[in-house]
Amino acid sequence: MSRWHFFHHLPIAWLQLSFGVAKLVAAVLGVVVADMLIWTQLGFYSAAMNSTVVIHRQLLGDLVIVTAETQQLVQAGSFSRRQLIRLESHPSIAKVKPLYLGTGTWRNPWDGQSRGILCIGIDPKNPAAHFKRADFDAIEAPDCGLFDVQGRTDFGPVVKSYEDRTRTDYELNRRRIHVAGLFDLGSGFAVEGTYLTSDINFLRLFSARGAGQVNVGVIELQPGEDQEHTKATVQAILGPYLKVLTREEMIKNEFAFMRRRTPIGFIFSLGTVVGFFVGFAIVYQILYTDVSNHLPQFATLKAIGYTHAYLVSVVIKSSLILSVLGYIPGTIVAAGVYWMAWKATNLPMQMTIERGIGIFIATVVMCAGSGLLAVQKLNQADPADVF
Amino acid sequence: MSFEREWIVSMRGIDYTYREGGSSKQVLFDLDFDLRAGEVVILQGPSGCGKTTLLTLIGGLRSIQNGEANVLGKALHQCSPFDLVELRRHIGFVFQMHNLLEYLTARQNVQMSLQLVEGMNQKRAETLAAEMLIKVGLDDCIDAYPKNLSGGQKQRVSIARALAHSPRLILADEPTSALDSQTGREIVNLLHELARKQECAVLIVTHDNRIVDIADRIVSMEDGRITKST
Repeated sequence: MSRWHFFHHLPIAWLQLSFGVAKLVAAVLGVVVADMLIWTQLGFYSAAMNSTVVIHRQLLGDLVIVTAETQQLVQAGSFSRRQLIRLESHPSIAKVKPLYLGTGTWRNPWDGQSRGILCIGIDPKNPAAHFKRADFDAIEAPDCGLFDVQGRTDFGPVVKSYEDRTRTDYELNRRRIHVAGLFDLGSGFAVEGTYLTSDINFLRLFSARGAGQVNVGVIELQPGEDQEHTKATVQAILGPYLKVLTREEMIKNEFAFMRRRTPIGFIFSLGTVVGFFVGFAIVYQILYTDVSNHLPQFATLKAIGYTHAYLVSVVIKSSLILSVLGYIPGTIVAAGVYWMAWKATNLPMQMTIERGIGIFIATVVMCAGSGLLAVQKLNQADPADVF
Repeated sequence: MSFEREWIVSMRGIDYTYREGGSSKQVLFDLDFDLRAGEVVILQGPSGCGKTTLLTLIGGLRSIQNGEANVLGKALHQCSPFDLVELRRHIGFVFQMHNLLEYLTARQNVQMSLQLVEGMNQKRAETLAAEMLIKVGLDDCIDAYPKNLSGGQKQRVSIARALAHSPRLILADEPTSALDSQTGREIVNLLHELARKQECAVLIVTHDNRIVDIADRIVSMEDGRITKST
């Protein structure tokens, strides 16, 4: 078939696809549902993963020290602060900062229920991490701390009460504390709410642990120092009971732990695959029925001189039209789902360009794949049978 | 008819056997058939005599198994399947069941055969298709969909589609069988008249005895052989 055919042809694929409005709508809806499912599953998956590393991303430093058996930051074991002090004189190191982490018991004064809350202790003069809206001056006063604005309402209307100044005193670990401000951590699956305070106040709350016990050490290197090299040096100084990681390694390890030890990866991958095959099945069904219904007409086109390749291109074009028509509304609906999920759970749901492109490619593959499968039916279009 | 006119179709010693699974059935036996330029020939015979098979062989819709066939200057017995597709673009087909594409208007259906012509653009195809539909008397139905047309009107569209690209050969298979006798007559007259104007040879396979008078020649077949040619 000569080249100009493709430029001066009637748009048969579109004319055939759009001839029955109900059929077109059904096919497009199939793609919309599939894309929405895929978007949602991947969105929740990545939000779940990212919500586990919100603290890691706020650490002010290059290297992180935790106990050797630590797999997740919020579960980090404690070790002697002396280990960190030893490093302060190292020529490659600018600063060493301790971070205290623990799960406290927060009593909701409105319903009397107690819940676990993540407590972070930071030296306000030498902060190991920084958080949005966090005012470190406010936490220096005894028993004062900041409450995460994205914390779940199960802890009580703490944020609203602070803003209205109707209530600022609460009970944490059977100790009276004072919410002196708010900060923004971004909670997730792993953490439902967070209380940020100074190292001294932290140790008051967790009086059972020894004063010298920290959970994380954050190292800031001197400008121009090689990260990998210093990491090895520090590891050698600290010995085998502690491990030194770069911040990126720590994040990577956290993701690996989530994938390995929780069903998160499996559940969301399954959801994504189900979405893909739902779309595949619907598009295949529609295209196959369309080809079957038009078989005598396809055979007629062959009889009057159209090639098999031309007919295949018609079916493939139909599938590509469906992928575009379905992707756009599917993505818009997914944006609505993301917004609702974010409203309901505070999960960081983000539509990234990369994911958008990936899902569009998946949509095209899904539609073209079902188109190619439906094309098999075309082999039955024997032009000699039209007589 | 003068014998100097060129041969559009010339077939010599054609055999054809249908094979399905283990069984086979021969339907054409050592058959010779000729068609000259501009000639209108009616092919008659009882069902199963092989006339439709002969038509599909001439139209390049089946491959030649045995014998020699020359159609529009091409030796079909030496043609690849791709050459056969190419050949079919130079033939006009009229089917028993009009076989229009339901999702295209009358004009777009006619365009489908026009756009296979080398050098044709869509604008010109649209114009030519409309002109052709006017020629077959469908001035008012140019942009109508097949479902809104009567059986006779659909067959007229089908004739317009077959003739639009000015083929030198028309193959028609029972073009009147789905129509009442009066409409059938009109359709055949129309086909005959337009084919004459375009100096196009026509081969009509039919059972319909009422239309034989339009033929220059009637060929009768029985049991895969030509029994009579007048």
